[in-house]
Amino acid sequence: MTGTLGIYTNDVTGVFQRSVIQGAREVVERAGLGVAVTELAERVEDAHEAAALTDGTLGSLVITNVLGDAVLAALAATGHPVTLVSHRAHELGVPTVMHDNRQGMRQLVEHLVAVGRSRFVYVGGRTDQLDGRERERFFREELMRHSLSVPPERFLVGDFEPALAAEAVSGLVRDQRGFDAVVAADYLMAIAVIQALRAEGVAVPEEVSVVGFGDGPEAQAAGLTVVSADVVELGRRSARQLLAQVRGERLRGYTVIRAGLIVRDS
Amino acid sequence: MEQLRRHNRHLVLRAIYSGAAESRAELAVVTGLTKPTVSNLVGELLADGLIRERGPGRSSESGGKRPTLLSFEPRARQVIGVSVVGNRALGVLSDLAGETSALHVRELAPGEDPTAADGAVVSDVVAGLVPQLDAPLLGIGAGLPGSGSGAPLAAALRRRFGVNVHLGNQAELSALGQLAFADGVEQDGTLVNLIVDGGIEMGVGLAGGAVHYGSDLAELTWPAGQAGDTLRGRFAWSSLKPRVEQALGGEPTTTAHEAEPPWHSYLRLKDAAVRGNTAADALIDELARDLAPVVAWLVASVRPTQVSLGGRLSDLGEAFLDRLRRHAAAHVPVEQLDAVTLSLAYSDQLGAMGAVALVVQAELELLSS
Repeated sequence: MTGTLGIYTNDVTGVFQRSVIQGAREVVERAGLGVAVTELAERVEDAHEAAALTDGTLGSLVITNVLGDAVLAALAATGHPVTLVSHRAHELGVPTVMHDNRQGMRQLVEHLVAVGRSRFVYVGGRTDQLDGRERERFFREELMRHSLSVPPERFLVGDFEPALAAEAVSGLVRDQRGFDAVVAADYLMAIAVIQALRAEGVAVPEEVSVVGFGDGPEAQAAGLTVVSADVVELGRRSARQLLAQVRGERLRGYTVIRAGLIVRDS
Repeated sequence: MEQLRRHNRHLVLRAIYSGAAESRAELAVVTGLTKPTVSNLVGELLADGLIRERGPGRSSESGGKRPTLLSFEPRARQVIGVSVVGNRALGVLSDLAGETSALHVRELAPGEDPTAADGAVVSDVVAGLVPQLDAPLLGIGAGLPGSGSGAPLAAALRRRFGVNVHLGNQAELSALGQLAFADGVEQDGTLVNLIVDGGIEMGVGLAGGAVHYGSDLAELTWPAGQAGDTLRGRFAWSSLKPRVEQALGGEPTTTAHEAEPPWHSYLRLKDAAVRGNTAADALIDELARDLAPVVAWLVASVRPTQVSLGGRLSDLGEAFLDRLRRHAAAHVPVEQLDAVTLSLAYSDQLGAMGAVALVVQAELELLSS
């Protein structure tokens, strides 16, 4: 087989997006196919653009929600193979590969409870993205399971932007200190949170434990405790699903990649 | 001859897997096979990747040659296990030791029958996991609701994926899955797994999973002798949902961005009770009181070492188990009840893990005692 697979993203320089592309590229190129990355500054919503966008490719890997439902439906209708990464549109019958947000959040909260933490702060991701919504929902479920409560002012908006997460945590520390753990919806925000806390004179992990979702070299360098949802691996797994479709498999449903807890020094 | 060879091969593999033997010499002693036979079989297992040589051990007291130590290699094969939970089919991709690397979920369409002869639903789940394989596929297992033979379904899967397929009852496999792989389960004991998830299913596993069976209790009339009310009627989510909602009353929803799926409402009920909602507390107590005779009956008849509560109801947590025990004490002698551990299995993957255990057991004869 020869040809090219398209990868669509909102930002080729973002760490998450870059890592997914790196992993996908490895797998696709090993299969003897080419990769064409398209950066879309705005989400494409017009179904008429679907054909032009994917013209000349054997299949498409779509990172999060950069193609709207109408576009995905139009692609599905023509039989063009599509795999969604960390996004779901199961009513359209488009398969997905994503991390196990439920199991991951469960492990993070269980770890913090096991080391004696009970007064949590949550730094959320973008709520227009599935990972952002699911991680917050499963965090809230784990709170209930452990009979813990977190007041509304300790749910901070981070939007998967480390700078925003750092600013929100700094603001909280100046206002009140009565928390002993921070759970961040991704590891890049968690690293920024550690720096912000230390800048405010809060000792990590002595006074406050910080954990994050997902893993990469940055988390390892920062000594961050995480669930090892490796983003490059997510890219590899997504490409495997897409290749299966390109070879003629008709896939339905979503694949969830398991993640294990990695306890480091945070 | 081939059958005998296969049997001997399994004997050798099982001895290494269980740690009963670590070298060729020990294998000859433990299995009673001759040393040349053991050496041959070890060679085959090494070539298949199921075992590996992990270096020299200590020499024997008589000062002989240091033996090469052998280890089981759980990642040499992978297994796909599938079960149906509520309105979705869920598959796990696992190694031989129960470590999972991926799940695949496929929602059921309204009215779709996951046990249909073409095996379409289970097939979709398996097809979703095949691209994620990191080792050869040993076999496919599936736990299905009800007690049909599933032979046509198994045949359809075998044709499509080219490996052996093993089917079982879902509740039975949940018990097997816990015995084989779960932490905190006494492997030599007798485990009863009670799945309360709309209906009520019971799975029993004995001594390390060598014997397992399951049945559906949903149509049992309950309380005994009272016409018209069945366990399904009592615990069906459709009849409980309005009462849970009523108990939660004006409580704010717990998810900020999505409609609350029914799965999590027991969790919310538990949460409300912890916060002092007396209506929620009373409803939890009533559920414990209604389920207690079933638990008492299981304890008295099966004499298990452990009763594990799975399904949605397990979200009610440890406090619910305490109440269940208290109410069950009204139906069964306390010393019988005291001999039993009550536990929660709040995973929706137990059935699928049991299906994995079924395949490992059938194909490699590893888990049976």
